[in-house]
Amino acid sequence: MDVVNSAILDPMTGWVILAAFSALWIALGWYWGRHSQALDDYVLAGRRVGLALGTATAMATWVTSNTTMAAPQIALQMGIWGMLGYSLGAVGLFLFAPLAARIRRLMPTGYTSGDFIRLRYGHFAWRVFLVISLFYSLGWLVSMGMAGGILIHALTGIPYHYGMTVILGICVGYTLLGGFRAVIGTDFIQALLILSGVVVIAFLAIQHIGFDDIHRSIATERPELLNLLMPASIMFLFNNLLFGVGEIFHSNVWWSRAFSFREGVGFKAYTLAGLLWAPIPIVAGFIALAVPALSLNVPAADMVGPMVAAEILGTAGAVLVLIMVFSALSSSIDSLLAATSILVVEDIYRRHLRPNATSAQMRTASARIIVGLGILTWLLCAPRITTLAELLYFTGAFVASTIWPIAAGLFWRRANTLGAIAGMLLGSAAGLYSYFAIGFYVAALVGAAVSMSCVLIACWLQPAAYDWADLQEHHPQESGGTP
Amino acid sequence: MLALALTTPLGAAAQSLQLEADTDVATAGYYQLRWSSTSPVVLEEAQTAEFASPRVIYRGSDGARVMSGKPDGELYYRVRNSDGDARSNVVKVTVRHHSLERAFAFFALGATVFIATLLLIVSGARAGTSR
Amino acid sequence: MIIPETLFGIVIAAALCLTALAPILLLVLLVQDWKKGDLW
Repeated sequence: MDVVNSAILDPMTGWVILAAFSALWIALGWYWGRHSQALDDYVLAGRRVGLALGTATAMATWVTSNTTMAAPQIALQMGIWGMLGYSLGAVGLFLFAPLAARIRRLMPTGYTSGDFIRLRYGHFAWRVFLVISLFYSLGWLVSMGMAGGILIHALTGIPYHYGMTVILGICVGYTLLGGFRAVIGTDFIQALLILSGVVVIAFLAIQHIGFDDIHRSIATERPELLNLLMPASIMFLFNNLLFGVGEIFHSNVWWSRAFSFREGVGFKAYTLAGLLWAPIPIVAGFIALAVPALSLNVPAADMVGPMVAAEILGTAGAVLVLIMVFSALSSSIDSLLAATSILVVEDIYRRHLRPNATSAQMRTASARIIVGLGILTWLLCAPRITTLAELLYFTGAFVASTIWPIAAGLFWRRANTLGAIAGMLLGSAAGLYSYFAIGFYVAALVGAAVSMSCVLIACWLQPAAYDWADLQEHHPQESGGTP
Repeated sequence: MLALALTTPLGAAAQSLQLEADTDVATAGYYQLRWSSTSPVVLEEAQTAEFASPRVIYRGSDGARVMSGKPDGELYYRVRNSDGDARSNVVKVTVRHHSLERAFAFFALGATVFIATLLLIVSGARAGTSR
Repeated sequence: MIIPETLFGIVIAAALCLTALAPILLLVLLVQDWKKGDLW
């Protein structure tokens, strides 16, 4: 939206920063990927990732442009509960911790969340799931590509299309070179950059203005933001929690991490990542509440974070935000590219098109799909159609309706195909309806509730007796592909 | 492109000063006001359509403003050029928050789904490790 | 029901401290993993 009229940095500074970090990520991608020739090495980092890198990658991936931009946006729109509600996104990581441990144990040679749904519920449920999952992945990728372009433009004046192209190009580049190792390694550095940036900006906001001024100005100018009984934000609380749970439970981004972690690491890494992530939206959201105290005009809600940072810190703040945003975006885009590419390779290329593909062929296909996804995302980002939060919130209904089919399917032998399919279809439909009838802040909640009812009713009417051993599957890696 | 079209100056004629809100009824207390102008404007807010005692809420050359945290009520807005007396149309926004009963009904539904999910996972993980 | 200023301050300050500790914890874990040879 071109309602913001002046950039904070000049384009030259912007290009220098982008070039420096791009060079760093590409070099690291090449360095870490130079020995990753085998399929498991390339797509799952050899299945031996330890606690530190595991924690950092889960945390950094969950810090998306949404945490650094939408958290302030939600704080500005929904106030104090919006901010705290946003941090409930951490619950998804906590709840996934036991799932990660169980996934690793039940499917030691699995590749994707699609593998699980196919083996657990059969082909029809699997295809429904793939549609939901690919729609979500693409929605996430596009929302981040667009966020990159818009933010870089607002901060530096570099045109939208250039910024968007750079950020997508760089992420495709280093993910392609280094595979999953590059994703995890850069995630660690990006995690440190994001955390430090958020802390510095919030600390300086408090020092510049002070809690009392911030509180007093909101109370007079935007009083409902401090209201603990603001209706929409009360509705938003569990919606956001369930949205996050749905995103994490179904998405191959989190499953591929569960497969890649060393035995015994998954539970600890996800729990710790949740703990580290939870305070970030509060700190990031808080800076939006400084708006009334600064008498700042915010033309578009999704720009509030960078605008406040720049107002408080001037040029240094804008540089900091640019680095932070670049890190947050890359740490999520790289993960999505890697995890979506293996989902497409395993669940579409191998299971639908080339059943006899060797692991070397899958390795090549995976690299090609990373490039393909990058190009597709670019094409969808180019027309710059809708606002950021809208695009991603739209998927809430879909992903939340996968929570129960997945969780019950992992823990209950009696969970059955009918419940899973009905849950995903009816849950998505009901969630979508409520999105338009009431608001974005109830879509995931309604989707999850309807889907849960379907799964429970189906379990009660027609309990299955699933054999967990059916989840173990023969893979090309073991049957003599590249060693 | 859509966003660009909205903020493209609609010719120099002063009467083309257009104001619009992204919603007529705000159920969460937030909305965005957008206007088309090439020169700095003053955005005014009033409780009545007659603008008996307007309040200036923004002065400057941005093309929009996000309002939020508004309590229930009816508000009227208009923009005028700060260097002339060209005025825009008047936009009315009604802020009507959802009822607390409705909010708590959704809250309770969300809490139920969350607790059920938690129980499923905790009991499942326990059974899984003891086996 | 407006949130009191003290409570507001406490919530934000606590979140800020936790966020500041996070990078330190990550680095400590990294060194531990590295010593054990468990990095990846």
